[in-house]
Amino acid sequence: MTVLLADAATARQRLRSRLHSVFSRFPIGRSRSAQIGLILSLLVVFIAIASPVLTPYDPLAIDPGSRLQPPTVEHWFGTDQQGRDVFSRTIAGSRISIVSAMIIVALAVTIGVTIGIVAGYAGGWVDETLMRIADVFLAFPPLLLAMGVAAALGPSLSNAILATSLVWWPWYARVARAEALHIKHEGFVDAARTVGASNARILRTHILPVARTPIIVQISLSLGAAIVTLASLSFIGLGAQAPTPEWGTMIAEGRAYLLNQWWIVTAPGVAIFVTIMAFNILGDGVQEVLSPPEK
Amino acid sequence: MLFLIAKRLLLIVVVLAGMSVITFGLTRIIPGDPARLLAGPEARAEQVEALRQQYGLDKPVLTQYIDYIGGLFHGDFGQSLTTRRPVTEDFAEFVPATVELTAAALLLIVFIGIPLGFLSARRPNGVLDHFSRILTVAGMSMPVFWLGVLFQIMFFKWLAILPSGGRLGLIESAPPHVTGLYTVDSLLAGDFGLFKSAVIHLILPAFTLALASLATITRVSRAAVIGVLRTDYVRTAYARGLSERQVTTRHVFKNAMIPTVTVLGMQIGILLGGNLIVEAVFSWPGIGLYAVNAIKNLDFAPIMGVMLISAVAYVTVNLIVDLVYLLLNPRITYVREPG
Repeated sequence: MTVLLADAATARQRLRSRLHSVFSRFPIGRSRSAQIGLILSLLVVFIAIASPVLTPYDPLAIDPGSRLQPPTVEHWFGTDQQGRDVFSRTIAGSRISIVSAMIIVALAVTIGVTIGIVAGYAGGWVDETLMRIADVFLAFPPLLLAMGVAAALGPSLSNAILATSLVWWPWYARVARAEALHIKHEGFVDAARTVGASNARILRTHILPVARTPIIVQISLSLGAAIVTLASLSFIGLGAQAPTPEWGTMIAEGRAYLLNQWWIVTAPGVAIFVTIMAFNILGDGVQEVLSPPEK
Repeated sequence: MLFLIAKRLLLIVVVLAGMSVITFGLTRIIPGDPARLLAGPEARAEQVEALRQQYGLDKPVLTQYIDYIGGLFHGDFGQSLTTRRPVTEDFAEFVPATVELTAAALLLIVFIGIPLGFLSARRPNGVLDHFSRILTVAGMSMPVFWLGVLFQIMFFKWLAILPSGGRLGLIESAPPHVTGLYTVDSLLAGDFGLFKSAVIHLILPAFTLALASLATITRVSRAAVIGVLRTDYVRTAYARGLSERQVTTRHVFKNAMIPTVTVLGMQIGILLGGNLIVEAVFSWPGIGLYAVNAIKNLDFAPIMGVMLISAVAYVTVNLIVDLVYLLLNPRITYVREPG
């Protein structure tokens, strides 16, 4: 009995020190916007994960008998032109937006960081070529580049995700390159090279981990923008297609009923605003905590 | 200085060449056969073949690319399937509307955003600072399409004080064409009634387009002023007995403009993308609406044309910003990024 209690105590202590080390690396206590942003973002992510349980109706279920109903006790946010429950569709939309944003950022990070650290580490003409390619992508207004690529690939959610990630990779490439340039002449990299580590190994085990912090900052700053871009593509018909409960698509569809059934566009509009705000506040907070402005 | 400008121009040539490769490449990855798309669904095989030869689609890709570039230099962006006119002719009709909208948004950003940022910085945590903080957080999180729709609900439906779209009322006709900007042309024609209508129609789209960038600029200019106020030379200026006004105009304002102008240049890209959405929401007949309509019909020549001229406009604006930057701060020597 006492042994068990002692075990529990050490386990608790170990957990506490583990948590402590996480918090000392990400001292969110220092930034109020990091705290608020984290709480709001976790709430949004929770809604996205739990959306199948939270939706009172099937977001795709058509009910011609109850078309265009204003908000009531049965339908909190009213119903749309096909009698679908707007509340359920809005909740279901959170999952699509958040999962898509994560895929976009993951793709952009993978492409961008790989290109960036290779460019920074290799230097010379490799660096020059890769960075000029990045410049070309950065020279397009972001939404227009995404539009062109999405239009060429054909309108669908997955193509819009791909197109949007093409907009963001150059930012990650720049951040990763700057870090790689910074680190490649450090003693520990030279030491690794002397003992015969391959270039690929040096990039993976020595340069990538150090470049992590600015990349995390960049990720936290681009989540909100990824959601907006994707929803904007959907709004002009290049992203998720009807009847998918995606926020941009829902607003595009609901516009025809704007004047008399304002609730159809309002629920997804407020949802996307709150979600983006949560991620933006979190992004500011993460930036504040991890890379405080130089004095 | 001349060397720096030459280097910058050379970089732009590289960027423009790269852009043409991207837009050309995009027209080649379109699923399906462009000739068949052009001919329409009912065309016979020989008609498709004739079109293929007419547009040089049977030639090697490299030759096609060279033809494409040659065409661009002659202002040939191809033919729109929707309007059945050359894209260049459509541009002549639609570009002025976009220029007018973008310019109006830019005026709002410069004349509201920058003063708001500067004034907020003068009294950090004052009433105005709190107001502008709420405005920036909300403005930067508001998707353009939702803001436009919200404005329509509020100002058109509920308050009924502003129109929901278009450049003029239904029964009004455009002023005689001089610049293509209705606000300017109506004044030139001396028609104040029409000028008023043009301005009223411009208010909602311009604010919708501007808000996110206005928020960004407010935030950047506020941070810039706070940064400059902490510097030694400002303290020295006060110590020398200069009045607050002299310090503000001579030191603070000028130095805080440097980061502000850079970010302003970057915001042009946001505005050019935002045009797509704002014009679609407010039925504003510019190149954004033109592109969105082209998307619905899978009409590629206009899409790529709009993409290319917007990118060229963006690159040009940023070149100008870089030059202004040199003028504002002679100390800047052009070092490209760290390393």
